[in-house]
Amino acid sequence: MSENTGKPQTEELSGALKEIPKWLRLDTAATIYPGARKRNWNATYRMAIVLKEEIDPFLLQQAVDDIAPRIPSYFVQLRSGLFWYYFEHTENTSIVEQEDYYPCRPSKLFELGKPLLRVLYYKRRIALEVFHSVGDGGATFLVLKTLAARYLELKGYTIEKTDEILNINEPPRQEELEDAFKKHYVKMKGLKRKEENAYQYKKKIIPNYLNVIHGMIPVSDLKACAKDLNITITDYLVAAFLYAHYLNAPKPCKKPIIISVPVSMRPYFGSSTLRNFSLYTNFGIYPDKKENFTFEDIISEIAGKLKEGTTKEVLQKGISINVKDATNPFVRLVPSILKRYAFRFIFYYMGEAKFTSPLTNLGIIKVPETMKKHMDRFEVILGASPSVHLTCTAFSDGEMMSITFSSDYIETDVQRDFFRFLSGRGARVRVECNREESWSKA
Amino acid sequence: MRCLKCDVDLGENYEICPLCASPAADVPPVIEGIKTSEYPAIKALRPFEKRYLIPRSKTFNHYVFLIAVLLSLLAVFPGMWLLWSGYTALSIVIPAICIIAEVLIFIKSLALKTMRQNAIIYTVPLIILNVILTAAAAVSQQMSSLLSLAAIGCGLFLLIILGIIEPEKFKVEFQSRFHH
Repeated sequence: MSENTGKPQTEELSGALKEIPKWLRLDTAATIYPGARKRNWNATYRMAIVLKEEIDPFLLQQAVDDIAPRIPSYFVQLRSGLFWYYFEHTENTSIVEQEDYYPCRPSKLFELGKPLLRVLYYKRRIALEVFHSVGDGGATFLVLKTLAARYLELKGYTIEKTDEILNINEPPRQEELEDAFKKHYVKMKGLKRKEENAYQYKKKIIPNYLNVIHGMIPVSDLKACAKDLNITITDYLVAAFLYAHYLNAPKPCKKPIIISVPVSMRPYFGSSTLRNFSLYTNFGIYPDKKENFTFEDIISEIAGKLKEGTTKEVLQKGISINVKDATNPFVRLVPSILKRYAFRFIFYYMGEAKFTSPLTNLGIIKVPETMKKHMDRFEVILGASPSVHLTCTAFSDGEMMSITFSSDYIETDVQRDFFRFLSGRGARVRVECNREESWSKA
Repeated sequence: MRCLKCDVDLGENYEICPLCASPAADVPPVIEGIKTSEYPAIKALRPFEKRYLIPRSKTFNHYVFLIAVLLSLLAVFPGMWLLWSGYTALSIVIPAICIIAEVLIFIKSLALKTMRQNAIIYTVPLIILNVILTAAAAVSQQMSSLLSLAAIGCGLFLLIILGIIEPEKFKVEFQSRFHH
């Protein structure tokens, strides 16, 4: 491990791992999630691929067995230590199940021998549901692509080995298991977290339910919309999401409407870790500043904020704050049973209370050309948390932008206004959902 | 299919728009070549999974430890009024229960390899408990430290044996459970 504790858990040589570590520390970002868990919720998200043919569960299990040694940090179970939770490696790869319920069911965190991920299949879809402590979206996407590529190979197709998927014939690399936060930590002074609480979108919660709406929009249409206003597609989507929230917020709305945009730090710091390495940048509008906000007003309010929040200097500060807090000697020596409640407080009152909804843009997802012809699309579902009930993800394959909303509310007013706004601006939109009442079983 | 109100394409078999619940119009989609990705039909909401006080894995040591804790509580509270004084409970009954638990853990971990890792972590709290009792006995003249010292000895002996027969597991378990 890169975080040097004087107790090497693996070979400290660069490059290939000589031995799979029996246990792993949670990375800096991961430590919050076990503490934030509630009886009926933990941070489990889904990444899925829709292929052109129906899934064969036996081949899928074989593909999981084949890729498991390549991604040891995903085959772990959560255990409780005296001071911190930690991961213990597990050889159990029996994680393939048929999908029969709503996405993002809570992971079974302390089930002995069970890894913190599951692979679900339904018709043409392979879905990977992962507890967030294991890795972030960037890492899990790579794992999903590797799993799908192996599955297609087992089906008899040739998939070229490119940088977009992991080579399962190679051993896992040391840097894939590192805590990149600690590796890139630079000591800084005078760092403070100071943000005000944001407006929260509230409706009646449906327990154990997830309302998923997928929207697909040609990238060219969004590009044209964004180009008219001289902004990026991400800025455009964030502004549209803010606008949809604004239209549905009670008036007057005293609290700011804030969108949290996670930023993968891998390209900024040149990391190839398969664990968490992302930070959030929050920005939005203050509805009480003006009588009536138009979309253009929102654009002028947020223009450039995303760029400002994702400079290397700002991200470096974010790393420093997180690592500084996690390595505080007092925090380190508090027993984990007490830390859990402190982390829960931090997660809900200092994290999730500061934004209205997250919008995760995973950028352009690349796959080998030989894989492209066997697949239809990817899907990413963030799930809902006990305090943030509407989440959004976006990514593109270069041609089609996929935008997915997930919520534990029946109401879809924000989603409706979001997609209506985009179609009103000339973008072609296709919408699908997971709600049975919308489709007939013809 | 399309929703004319929202001006969006819908999946092939859609009857209702997921956004506004308006009936879908049977008109060709604007974006061509996309096939609906289906989800399973869910007939009813499921209740949340039950919580279990004892982990559902039938780990012997969990039970031994739990019984030891329960008997200790019983020894201190009701037993204190009915059978013995608080001092007797703290000097004799609780350390004796700990010794029994340690012996049972020892036997089980010798018989079953899979128990050895858990045996380590369940012995440590028993030792810590008896260290506290020994310290209390050093302060209080009405308490005896004999049995609690014996319980510490038994626990340490168990740890030494486990350290000899499973050195790797012993090292990993200690490093992982107590890392800070």
